[in-house]
Amino acid sequence: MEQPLTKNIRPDQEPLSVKDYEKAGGYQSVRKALAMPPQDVQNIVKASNLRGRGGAGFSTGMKWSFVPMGTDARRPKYFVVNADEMEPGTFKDRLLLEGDPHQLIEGVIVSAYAIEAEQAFIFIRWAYKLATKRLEQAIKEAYANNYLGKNILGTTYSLDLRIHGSAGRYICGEETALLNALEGKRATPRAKPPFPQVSGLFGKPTIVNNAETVANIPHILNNGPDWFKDLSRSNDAGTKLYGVSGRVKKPAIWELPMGVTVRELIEEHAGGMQDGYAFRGVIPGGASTDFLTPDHLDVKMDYDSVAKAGSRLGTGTMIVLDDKTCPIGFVHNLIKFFARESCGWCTPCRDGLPWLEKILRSIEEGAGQPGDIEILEQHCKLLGPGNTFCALAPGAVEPLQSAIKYFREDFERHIKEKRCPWKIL
Amino acid sequence: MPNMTVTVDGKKIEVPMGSTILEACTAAGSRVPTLCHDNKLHPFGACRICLVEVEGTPRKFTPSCTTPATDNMVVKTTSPGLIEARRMVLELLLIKHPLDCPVCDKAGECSLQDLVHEYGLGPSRFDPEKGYLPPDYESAIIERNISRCILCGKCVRICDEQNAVGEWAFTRRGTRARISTDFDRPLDCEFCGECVEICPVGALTTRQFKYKARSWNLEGTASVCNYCGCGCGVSYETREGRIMRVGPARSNYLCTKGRFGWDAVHHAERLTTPKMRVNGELVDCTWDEALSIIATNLKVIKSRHGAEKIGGLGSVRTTNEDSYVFQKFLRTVVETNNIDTLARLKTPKGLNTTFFSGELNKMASHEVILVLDKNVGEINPLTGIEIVRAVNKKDRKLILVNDEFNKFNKIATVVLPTSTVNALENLVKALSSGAGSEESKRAAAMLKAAKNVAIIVPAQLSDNEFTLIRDLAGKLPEVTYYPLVRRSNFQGSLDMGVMPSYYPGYRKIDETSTADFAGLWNAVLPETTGMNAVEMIKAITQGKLAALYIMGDDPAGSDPGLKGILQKLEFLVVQDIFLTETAKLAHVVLPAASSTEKSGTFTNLERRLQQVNKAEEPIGESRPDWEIIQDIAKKMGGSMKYGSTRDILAEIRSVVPAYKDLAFGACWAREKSPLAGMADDLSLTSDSIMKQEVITAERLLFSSGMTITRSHEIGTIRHYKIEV
Repeated sequence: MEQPLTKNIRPDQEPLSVKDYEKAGGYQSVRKALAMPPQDVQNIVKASNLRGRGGAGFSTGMKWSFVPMGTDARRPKYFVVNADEMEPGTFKDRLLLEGDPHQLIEGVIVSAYAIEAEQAFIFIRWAYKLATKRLEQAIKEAYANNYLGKNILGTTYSLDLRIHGSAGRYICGEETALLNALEGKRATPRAKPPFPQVSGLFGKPTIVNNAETVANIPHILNNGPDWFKDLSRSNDAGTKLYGVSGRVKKPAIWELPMGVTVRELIEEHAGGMQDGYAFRGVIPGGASTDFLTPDHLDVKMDYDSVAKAGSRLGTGTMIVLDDKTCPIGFVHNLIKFFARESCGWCTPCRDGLPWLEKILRSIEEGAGQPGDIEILEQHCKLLGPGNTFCALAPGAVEPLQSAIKYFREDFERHIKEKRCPWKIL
Repeated sequence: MPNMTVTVDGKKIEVPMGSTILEACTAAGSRVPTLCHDNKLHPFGACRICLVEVEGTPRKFTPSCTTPATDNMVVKTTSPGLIEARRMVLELLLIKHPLDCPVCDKAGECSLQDLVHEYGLGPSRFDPEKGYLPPDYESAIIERNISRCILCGKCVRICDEQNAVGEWAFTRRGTRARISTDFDRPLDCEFCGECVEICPVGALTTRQFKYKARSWNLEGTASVCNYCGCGCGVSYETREGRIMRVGPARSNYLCTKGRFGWDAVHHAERLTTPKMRVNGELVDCTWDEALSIIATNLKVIKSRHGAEKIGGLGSVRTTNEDSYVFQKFLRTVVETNNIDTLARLKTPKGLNTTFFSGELNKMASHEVILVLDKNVGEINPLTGIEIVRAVNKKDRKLILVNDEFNKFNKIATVVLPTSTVNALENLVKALSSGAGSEESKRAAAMLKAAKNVAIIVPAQLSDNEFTLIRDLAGKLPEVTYYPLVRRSNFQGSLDMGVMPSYYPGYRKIDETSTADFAGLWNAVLPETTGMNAVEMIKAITQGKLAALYIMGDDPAGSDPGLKGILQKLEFLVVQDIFLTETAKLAHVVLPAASSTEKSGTFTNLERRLQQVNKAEEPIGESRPDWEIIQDIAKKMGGSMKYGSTRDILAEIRSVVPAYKDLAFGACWAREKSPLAGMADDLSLTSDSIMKQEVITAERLLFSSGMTITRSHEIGTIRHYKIEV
């Protein structure tokens, strides 16, 4: 089983230096890409069927193709790596950033070249100090070896790459809010259209890609789109970093072919549930996705299959709910996070999420009222797509709306018994 | 622009490409509720009350304010689902919004109140968190009540997009987000009050209007602001015949003077009775006594010294009717042409000969705007706002000449950090030879490439600068000038002939014109031109001017050096609304009605004829200027018989060709002036008058004149820079 993304990662050791990385075959894709027109790079990536690993799963090649190209395009153009990984339960980008920074830089160079960007940024989560340090070192090495800077490897292409440490807000992971933050403004999303591909950072054409997405680019260039598709066990191409946390025997993160099943992940890779705990459900892709239940254990973990099961692949890092954990407390914890992290721009999210948090807290504390579940349901509906300014509020209510769907009797018991049945009296 | 078809609530309409769904709905006559949207601002999409249903997007609502409409789109503006969503938004807003409508100054014109009423919200299902932050009384003029704020961001955006000030901003996040200044310090801005005007709720209110009246008890009187030459349309809102507040009318913007400075007319120092000098002291007297003394003295001086020893200084803040009657009185009754205004000393050379202002609301039709006076925003605030609007809304290019730093630097495409004369020299050089600094070359390239250019002409110009502007304009295809004019009816006073060598309508005084006007006025007119203001002042020191009639001006206040000179006069009459420094020297002081207390017309810097309407009764015994002068004229044997300002305007229309068929709200065309393109200079220069160093406040906006300094509200702004 090929694991291109993680093959150079040595747990608990320093990442490869530029020389070792080169020896391991690194930076070949830069040479390859710079020898062809940018449009060809785009075509290869489009043909590979790579889909964005940040959660939305939009075709990367397609996204790139919206960028105005040629001499008439407004400049400078920007390429931005979204490494602001703040989704609760998600830690996949961190592995790539800390474990193999040169792989990301290589991906940045090729991607930036594909859209003819002259400036690239890595927008990194505030708390990722080690990753920042390692990336800074790697960028320095890349400059020293002419992979970055003026006239890369003797070609006419030049690229400047900088790291921007986020000031630490969940909303910065939303691509337009990220761009505002990068411009030094308040991190609030922007209205779309215009899309960033046309008018992004400082009003110029900009691509924002997730770190894991970018890390895939060198391998696609080196091995071709067909190889990339063959890595997968489903329609969606490539490998994927899957993580499992919760009361499983071996919570961890693995690089596996796209399309492994939920069952495989939990039972095989994570070693099954801890003794004395039973599986009740799982949110498959970070905190902002709908629950999957024991009925969904054979669902393939790819974009379309998970969507068909009523949830989203999201970041592919799942949080397992066991039978000894109160689902209301579980969801309350998540909503508390989302309420705190709302940017405060639009009414439903700003004032609606804190209210959801309050109701959930009161239910959890035994003060729930009849009718509360209906209010929660109505809220979930009214925080749906379109009703709010960005996609984060609809994402925030996904675990809640599915919890009400699958664990309704638990909500009802809380209200009826005026206590949390999971709390030991 | 091509059109597209959109169906709104079953009604098919055509809208231009690029319209938003909201614009299409409005065009179709379907009202969509909004809280954070305003046509003046870029779409924001925060309140989520303007949701609509778009066919083809099931289970999803679309915000109409931010979403572009597309061809053949089918939109529904109301449905049970939409009503539920909108009610939810309102319900959420009411969690924190205190229901203190009975004591809120916004009640009756509050968008939230109206929508809650419309959507019929009952008791809230949510625990309220009212009044979670105390009101903020720290700032001058404007109070902030954060608990009432619905975070629509209109204040933040108008301050940035329209004013380029950016005083308001959001701080914090989530449910704790709020509007704030930098570090929550008190406001330190232009205090235009646009944020208060646009606030859909009572989060921003003014101290001036606090607890003054319920909005539904106010009656509006459309009139014109009496501060600068922009002549913004105002609505004086009165309760029981007394002004409570002022709002914008035609101009869609008011500066701090227009919105808050009107309260000067309610100042305790207003003159309420005529006064005469008895034993060296000014004492109250009756109108009859005052007018008789004036008539007698003027007659005596005229017969003893001759009419040429009497002069009159008019006002640039009184109405056209006042000015017209003033000059007619001096010419036909006193029989002198010694008529002038001191304001001509602070006027750009070339105004009304070379420089005729374009219309302010057409500023954005120019590709490049060249600002030659960094104080444009302080002298003529509306001109400043139109520049910001042109840049921010229409992407026009701005070349700014500014050797300091102000808000226009933030939006300028190119800044020339030097004096006006240097900048002009550099630009002319760069345009002709291509030589010069980077900035000059960039600016010159922009000017050269532009189809048309607007030039903001400074309020004062040296001869050199005047020549350079003409040289520069000669190298450009199409130029519109926007000269800055400090006082509200300066243009009108010139139009009305308050000048020693021109009759009304800029007719140069000569034999033919004198014969014409003698016929029109049925009077004997002086044969020679008169002394101008500078010559009159000089004449006083030489004993060649014995009596001076000053209407609505304060020479001694603007130049303390004139005090001693004016004291040399045998007879000084001052007619004003305050006991000014000049009035304190007078032998007779007459109380005039303010512009809020009388009717008439102003002509603003665009040469726009505007109606001034009476909003309140004159204070005390004060009277409109023209009535006072007409009474003196009668006492001196003159034949003025105007019943109202309408009669005077009718005569003005018959005498001044430019006013003949001029509709209210229209600007008279430059071709109508006999001086258009001529070399005449209507500005005055002097080596001695108003030349001394005066300690000026940091902000001209809050302190430029004797009226504004008597405004209580403006006085609360702490704007003096103290340097130790």
